[in-house]
Amino acid sequence: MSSGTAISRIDVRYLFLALLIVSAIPIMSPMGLPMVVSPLTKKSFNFIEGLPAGSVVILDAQHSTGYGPELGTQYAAVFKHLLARPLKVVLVAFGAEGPQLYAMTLEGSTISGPPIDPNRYGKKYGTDYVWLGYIPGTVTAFAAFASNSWLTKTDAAGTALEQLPIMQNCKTVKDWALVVSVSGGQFEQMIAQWYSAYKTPIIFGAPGVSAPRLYSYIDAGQLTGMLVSIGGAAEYELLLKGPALAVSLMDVLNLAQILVVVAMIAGNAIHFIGRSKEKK
Amino acid sequence: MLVGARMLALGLLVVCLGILTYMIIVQGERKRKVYSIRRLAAMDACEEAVGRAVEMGRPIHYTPGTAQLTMAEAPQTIAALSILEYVARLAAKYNARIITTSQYPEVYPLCVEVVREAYLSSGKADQFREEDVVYLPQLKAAAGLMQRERVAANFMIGAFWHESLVLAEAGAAAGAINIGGVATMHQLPFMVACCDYCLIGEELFAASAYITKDPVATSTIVGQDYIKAVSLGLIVLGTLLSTVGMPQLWNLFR
Amino acid sequence: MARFQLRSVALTITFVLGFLMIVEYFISFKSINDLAANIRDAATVIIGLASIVGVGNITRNHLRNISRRGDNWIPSIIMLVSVWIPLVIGLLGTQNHPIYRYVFVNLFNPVGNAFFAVLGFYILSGAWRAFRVKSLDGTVMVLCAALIFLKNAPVAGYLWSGFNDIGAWIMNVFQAAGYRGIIIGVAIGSITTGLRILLGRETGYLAERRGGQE
Repeated sequence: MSSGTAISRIDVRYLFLALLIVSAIPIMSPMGLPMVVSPLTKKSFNFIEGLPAGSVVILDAQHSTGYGPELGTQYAAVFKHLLARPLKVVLVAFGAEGPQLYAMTLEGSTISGPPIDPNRYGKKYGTDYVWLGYIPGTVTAFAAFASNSWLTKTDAAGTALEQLPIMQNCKTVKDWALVVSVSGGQFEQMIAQWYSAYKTPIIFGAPGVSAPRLYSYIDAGQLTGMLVSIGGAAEYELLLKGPALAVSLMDVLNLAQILVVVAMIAGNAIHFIGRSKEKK
Repeated sequence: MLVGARMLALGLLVVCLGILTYMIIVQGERKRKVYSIRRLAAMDACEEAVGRAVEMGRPIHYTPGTAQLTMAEAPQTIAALSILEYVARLAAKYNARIITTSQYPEVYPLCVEVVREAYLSSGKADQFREEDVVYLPQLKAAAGLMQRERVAANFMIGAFWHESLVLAEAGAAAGAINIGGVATMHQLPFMVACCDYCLIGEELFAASAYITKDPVATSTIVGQDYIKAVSLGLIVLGTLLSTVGMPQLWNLFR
Repeated sequence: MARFQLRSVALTITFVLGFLMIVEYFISFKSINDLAANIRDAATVIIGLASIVGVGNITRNHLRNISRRGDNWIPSIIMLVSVWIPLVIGLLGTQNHPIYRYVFVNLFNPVGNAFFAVLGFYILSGAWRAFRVKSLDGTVMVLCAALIFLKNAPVAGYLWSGFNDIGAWIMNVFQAAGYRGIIIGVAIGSITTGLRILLGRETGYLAERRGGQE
């Protein structure tokens, strides 16, 4: 039997079943596998910790439900951190699903974890944080919002921005101390519109598949920090000393990654054993 | 009046546009010079893939990616449409059925016209089936379509996001030969790993010139190479200067 | 003659608006910046209107399938209900309507998550099938993939910190260098395609019918 035939005779659905079992076990019986906080997550956390009181931070929900807990937990973790600090948080969505995701984060959901109540942090809407809603147009919206942060003229509920004290100190990109964008794409466009022109610090919440191409920007200093996938969110939760959904899902990530490595090794082993038998 | 922080970008853009305009107009249109482009295995495999589909009596699947025409990745969609025209002409020539899927409503009519035009210009207008150009709001649904239709060749050329792996694996499961082409960085590894042939990065933009051997198209590719040479020169110069303690060039680009 | 004039008008619009948007990025002049902003807003609205084409196409195809009792005509009914009910509710009641919120949170969200979760299974089957040590390139790819997977599994880094260090070196140095080269090439390719469109040398986006010419 040739090695190619041997592998092709193994139904790939057995692999799928193995992944299903490996994913289900830690969900039903959490294992609490240890983890180490990466320097990149620590750098992002420390930057927010170091912001002076009263700094304006833009938090952008540009992800979609498809990314699920991978980005939903990052958004929730950063939101909690910003609320815990004496900062002014301007929440905005450059992604079409942003308004729903913001609401799901506040109410608690399967992709963001437990509900977040700004009142518990002593924050007052309109003074300490504001939700501006969805701004369509992606790249054009990035540029427009940078030159005029009163682009929407009202918040998402229709209140005029003139009536919101927080917006008095947030007129253009020059008033921003930091942008945190949780997004599945458009990273280079955000860097071009916000960093290249105005040197605004940016922290991205990025999915694992997009992170590799962003390391170049971190090395170049164009990107201040980054949370990578659900691992970054879990590390952030640990730094916040409030483990939540991301930490609870890390066991699944651990075992699934190891299963993939085992599959690679096993596939190659069968391939080589088959080839050596053929040669004999 | 000029935005100071963007002047370096403007200067670089002027250099790029100058080189490209010279190559397009002078070398391509006036001198009609045809430059040779190195072999692109993926494009050579197109005819093989179409032939495979004809022999097996099964259709071809082609998708020009999942980028809207307003996105920064739109040039990849445009490049994918020119390759679609080539593949559709091959399909018309060999009487193969080609199913084209697209995810955005503004790209869908372009696909219809490109495929229709390919059949018309091949003299096979009666074989064009508009129902074989399919609009799918989620391109992942093409995975099911490929498996139902048991496609023999799966072309995934353009800008992709997460659906590239789904489509590549679905094509492999259907027994199709996978030919990919992507310039979105995050999907390159998946395409390279899972496709039998793959256009990597800017090969996607060079493919059209490779097929047509058009003087303007090939001159454009050479112009790109000149710009890359300029970039390489700047990289080497910046590296050397930074190494000897003169980071001015590096700071300039920051 | 009429087709030539239409084509010329389209190419002229492309040229003028394209170069206006490029020039606008580099200057700070209120009337030009405002004009460009209005054009961007108009483009956003026009692209949004293109969704009508998509919805109309889906409705037409699936209604046809239902009327002919074609393949999978029952899923076609589900498809049309899934498209039109949230659409009508969203348009009439906005996205804050309780039914719209319920459909988004309890139907759209889990289905979206499931679609992405499928990727995990495909990555596994891809690793099993495609990651072969057949050549030097393949060996390097398999080795790097294994090390990165172990870096991304926090427990591996906890057991031996070398996995984190090696993985970080691969990400920050090895793959970043390759990515930089490809990014530069793709960016130049995008500029080239854009210039060809603006100069009218690339007209695929016009979807023009040239008729049988060969």
